[in-house]
Amino acid sequence: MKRIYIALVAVSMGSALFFTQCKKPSQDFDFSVNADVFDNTVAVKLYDAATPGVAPKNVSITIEGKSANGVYEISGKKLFKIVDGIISLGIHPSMAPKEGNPVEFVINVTAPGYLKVRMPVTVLAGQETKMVAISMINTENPPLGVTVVSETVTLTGGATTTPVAMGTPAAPGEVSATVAIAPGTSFKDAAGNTINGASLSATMVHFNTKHAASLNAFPGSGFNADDVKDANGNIVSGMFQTAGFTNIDMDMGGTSVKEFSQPINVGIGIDATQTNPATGAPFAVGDIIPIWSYQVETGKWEYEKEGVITNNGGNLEVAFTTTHLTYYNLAFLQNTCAEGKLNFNTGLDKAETFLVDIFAANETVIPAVAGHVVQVANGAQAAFENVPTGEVTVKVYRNVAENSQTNWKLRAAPVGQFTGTLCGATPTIQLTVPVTTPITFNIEGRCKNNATNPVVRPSIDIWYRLTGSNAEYSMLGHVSQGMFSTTNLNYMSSYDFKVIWDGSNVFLRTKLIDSMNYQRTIDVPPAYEQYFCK
Amino acid sequence: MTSFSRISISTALIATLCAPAVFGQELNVATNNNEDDEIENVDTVARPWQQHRSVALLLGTAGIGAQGNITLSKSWGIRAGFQIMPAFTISQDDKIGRTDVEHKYKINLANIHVLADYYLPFAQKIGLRVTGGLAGFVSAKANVVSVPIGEYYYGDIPINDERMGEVKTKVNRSGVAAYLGAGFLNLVNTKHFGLSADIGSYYLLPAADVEMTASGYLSGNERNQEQLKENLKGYRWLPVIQLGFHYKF
Repeated sequence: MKRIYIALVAVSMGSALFFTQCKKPSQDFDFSVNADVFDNTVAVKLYDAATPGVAPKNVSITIEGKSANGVYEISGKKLFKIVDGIISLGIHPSMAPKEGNPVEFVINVTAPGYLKVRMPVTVLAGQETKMVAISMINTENPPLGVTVVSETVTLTGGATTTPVAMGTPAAPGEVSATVAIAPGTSFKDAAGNTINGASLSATMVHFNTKHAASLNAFPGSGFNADDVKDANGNIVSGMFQTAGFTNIDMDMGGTSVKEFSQPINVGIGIDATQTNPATGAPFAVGDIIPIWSYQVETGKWEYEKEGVITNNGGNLEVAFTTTHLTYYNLAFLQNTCAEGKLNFNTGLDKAETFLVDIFAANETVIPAVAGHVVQVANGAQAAFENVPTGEVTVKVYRNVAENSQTNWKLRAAPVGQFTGTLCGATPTIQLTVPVTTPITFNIEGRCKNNATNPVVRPSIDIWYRLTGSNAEYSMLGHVSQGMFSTTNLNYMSSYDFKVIWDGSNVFLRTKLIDSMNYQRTIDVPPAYEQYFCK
Repeated sequence: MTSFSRISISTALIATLCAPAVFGQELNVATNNNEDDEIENVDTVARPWQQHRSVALLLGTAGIGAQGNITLSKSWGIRAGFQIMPAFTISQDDKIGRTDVEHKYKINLANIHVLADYYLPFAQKIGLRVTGGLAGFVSAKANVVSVPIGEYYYGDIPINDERMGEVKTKVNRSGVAAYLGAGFLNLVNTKHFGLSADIGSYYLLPAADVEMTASGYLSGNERNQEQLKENLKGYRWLPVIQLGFHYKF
């Protein structure tokens, strides 16, 4: 027995000589985790309305609202810092929108020298990539269609002693707005308390309807509003067809004025060439148009009264009195549905981004929804919130650098057009996209120095413009784990690309598109490793 | 190592230690008390070349199976059979770069084999032999699922959920293998029953066929497929320890 045992051991040891010293199977592997956490992203672009290529300085934003807890900067951090006028947001997947339960939050924007903005954002199920463009009005340098007047009025005992009359300047052929304050008027804060002060600072901004830059500054989320108190006191939602709006801000020693001891007079001019949607004819004396007020702090619209169009020195105007300060809007409120869907037949092999304008019935100039960016695959659906009921006209454009995302007047011919109903139906739009070979990107960054993540494949928004154009950056699309495809870049054209990463860093690169297929592994420069190689 | 494998080796060792055998001596397994008769009986049954035919149940690290055995002469014998390793899963932790990874292996083995035994001129009563032959592995596969271990965050967001994904690797080595080993035919030897033990190794001839896919946040890691193929070039040996439970006829 002992000898057999020894024999077995001897054979075993001899057999061990057969086993080679093998490599570890995972030797020299690169193992990386590249999360693409967000199924829904919102690219936010804040721009100076007068110079869209310039980002306002020192912009601050806060996020609030029903879904605010689920909103992150696209690098996964609760860090809402505007970098070069851009921030990309992501919705935590646990709070992703579902049918009948959209994501809703509000972006509050402030910047020195600019009007405050309160931008409600709605993300519907099916809106994987969304762009929100926030136009900011610099009162010292307003854009075309926006006029500003500012005055400082001396008070006695906190009240006016002489009539105060202010009017925004008007270029020839354009309209303006006026405000008149009677003597003996005192001023109150938001709580209704009378404010004491020696002087009153007043700024009035008028927005006409002739220019996209002016209309882009319409308060709220475009012309849509879902918190509107109508003439009957009911809270409704709808879409405004505006004939002009104005914002009046006053303060005394830093305290905002919200109410007056007696009514003030406001006049808002109306463009006589604009079509009255109620009559189908140009606005005329005697036409009636509702007056609405809007509070930036709350985002709420409220019906004030009916306005009657009169002739004031050869110009059409609606004059009314009010005892409180706010935005005032001359507009008809059209019915909308919460969501309209459209199937896209693009004829393309891969998903692509497009610009979409939607016009309400009887409106051919001012889109109800302007510059909506969609990223859709062939046969896929895109969803639009707050779509006018009844017949609409949808125009789809290529999301190329030549088509402005912020100025709906700068558009080439659409690649598809649909007229019909979106509410309660899901029609199909056929696009005729010029035959172009898509340019595909499959990019990864290699991190040296034994990084935790040796290979980085980011998921980010990418912005672009034609090199040398000095134009505003437009959103090209969303890159998912380093992969992206687009037909919106021209072969052998040069573009400036911009990416914001990690909540605070901007990366710029100018690139000539000289290939149809970019499959690259790039060594991440040492200076950038701290941002990407974590 | 799986509990199944541990049982196989333990069984082999216990059977060996408990078997009354002497290196180079005749086995004494007879049951009557007549010493001369015992020697005569042992002499009759002990020499392997008199075991003309047997079928064996195989139990070992290559799986369970069956085998037919024929001794051709006092020095040579041939065997043919099949073995199947029931699929089993083992886990292993690994460190790749700075990342801790858990691999779960699911292994399938099945072979048919033809072996030739040379019985050494000494210790023939116990049937000491060296063996060579060929096997056809109809299945020599490993399916591996790899996931990172530890807490992962994307910014402030924990991402250790089902969206993390997995890296799935299939390694296939099916094909012809050579065998070389040694063992004992007659650890236990009665008129109709016997116990054999062998130790050896298959040498897998085909190169590994590797297919790697990755999902979720691990997409892109399939780039390691070619590196894995390169690393597996040295993984050819499949060691075998097994027992055979023979019925002789």
